[in-house]
Amino acid sequence: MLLDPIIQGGLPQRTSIALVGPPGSGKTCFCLQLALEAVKNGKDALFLSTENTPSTIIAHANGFGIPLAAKAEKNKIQFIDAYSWRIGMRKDPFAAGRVSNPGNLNEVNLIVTDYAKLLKPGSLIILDSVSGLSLSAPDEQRIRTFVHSLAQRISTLEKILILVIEDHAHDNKLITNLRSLVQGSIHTKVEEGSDGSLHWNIRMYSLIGSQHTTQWHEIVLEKMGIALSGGASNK
Amino acid sequence: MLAISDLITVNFAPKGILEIPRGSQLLILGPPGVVKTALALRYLADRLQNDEPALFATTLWSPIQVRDTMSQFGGKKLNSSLNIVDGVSCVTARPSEETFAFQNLYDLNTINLVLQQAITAMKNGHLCLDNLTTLMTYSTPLSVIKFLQVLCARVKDRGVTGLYLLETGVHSEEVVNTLRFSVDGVIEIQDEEEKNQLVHKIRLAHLRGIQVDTRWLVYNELKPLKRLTK
Repeated sequence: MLLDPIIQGGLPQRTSIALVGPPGSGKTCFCLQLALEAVKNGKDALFLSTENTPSTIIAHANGFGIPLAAKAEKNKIQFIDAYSWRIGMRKDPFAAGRVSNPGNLNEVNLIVTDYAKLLKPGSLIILDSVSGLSLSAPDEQRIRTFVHSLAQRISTLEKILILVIEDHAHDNKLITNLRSLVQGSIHTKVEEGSDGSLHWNIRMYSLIGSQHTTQWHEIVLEKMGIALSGGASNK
Repeated sequence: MLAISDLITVNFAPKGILEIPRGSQLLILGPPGVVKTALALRYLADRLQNDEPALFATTLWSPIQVRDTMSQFGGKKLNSSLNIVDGVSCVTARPSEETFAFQNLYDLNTINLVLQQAITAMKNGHLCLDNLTTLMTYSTPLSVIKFLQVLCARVKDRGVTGLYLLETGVHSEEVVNTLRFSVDGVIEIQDEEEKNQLVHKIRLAHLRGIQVDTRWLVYNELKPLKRLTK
């Protein structure tokens, strides 16, 4: 499994995690791979996207060797479309639900928990991204209370929540605050190798009640999706 | 795993003081992560083992998660004697299974009253509030500072030791410093990158009226306590 080098047995139920990293550091790709694995393990996945339509995401995932289309057709992976409001709510074939106003975080909270309720325990809920929602949100205070409330609700529903947060897109204090309102953080970064190529790196910063490593792992592309290198990346 | 008593033992052993003085109000400061909560729960577990009452007020971890983590330190017996004030069920709009629960997270007066009620029966007990940052998320830093000053005085008046958790890197320096002088002592936690891994360091930065050794100790969940030398 993807997370094996970091944490044995994967993410525990009832946890909410902030996935923080700069743009283009593999956050979405990482989430999609986790979603696929959740489905392969007999769970469901719910993916809220503010950055792309569900069809585009499925196409992107396919480009990385992560086959989601079949799972989406069987409703094993459900998408909530928080993007299409920009283009006048054209119906996306893969959208199970839609958010018409991402700035209304109460509505987003209700929609996500309503869909999450119907999923099996241990299912994965992904919000990609909190930063996208926050662009339309009226103030930072609402984002904080939204994240806290959603994390607690998903925890009560015995699901796993992953909140994608763009690094450098917010004040550092806000990001630290959001991280403090959930139960763990995963960080990603981009590093330039000696040959000038860029490498994606990822690490588990903290997670309550779990034994995990805190070292950086490189995200490597494989034929079928992505994997984490076992060893430490170069400094 | 490092416990608060380790800090005390190491720091005060020559003077024969082996535990935090009763009724002390301590701030535990550190970046988001699990060390603060683990440290506080471990402290409560040790106190429960001595048959002293302990109360954990949570706004961040559900009572189930708190008890799960607690059982890593002391087993099921301790868990049944740990009192929890549930500050999470109000957010999820579900009835709480705990005796004490907050109705909401923005009315600090009511939160204060619930905490008073919960510690009424705990003479010489131990209280942990995890954490102040969540409360500041729902109201202003200034109101939380006032809240803490009143709470600390009342908790202390009952001879109850208080641990208050605060995230670093979220609040302005003025807020953190005001909180620091509102309490009797401060435990600081820092994360450092070492050989591509995270190392948590911890120290007792000050404790009112007592000369303390302020050197950093390495917090490691697997290895025994190691002294840092400067």
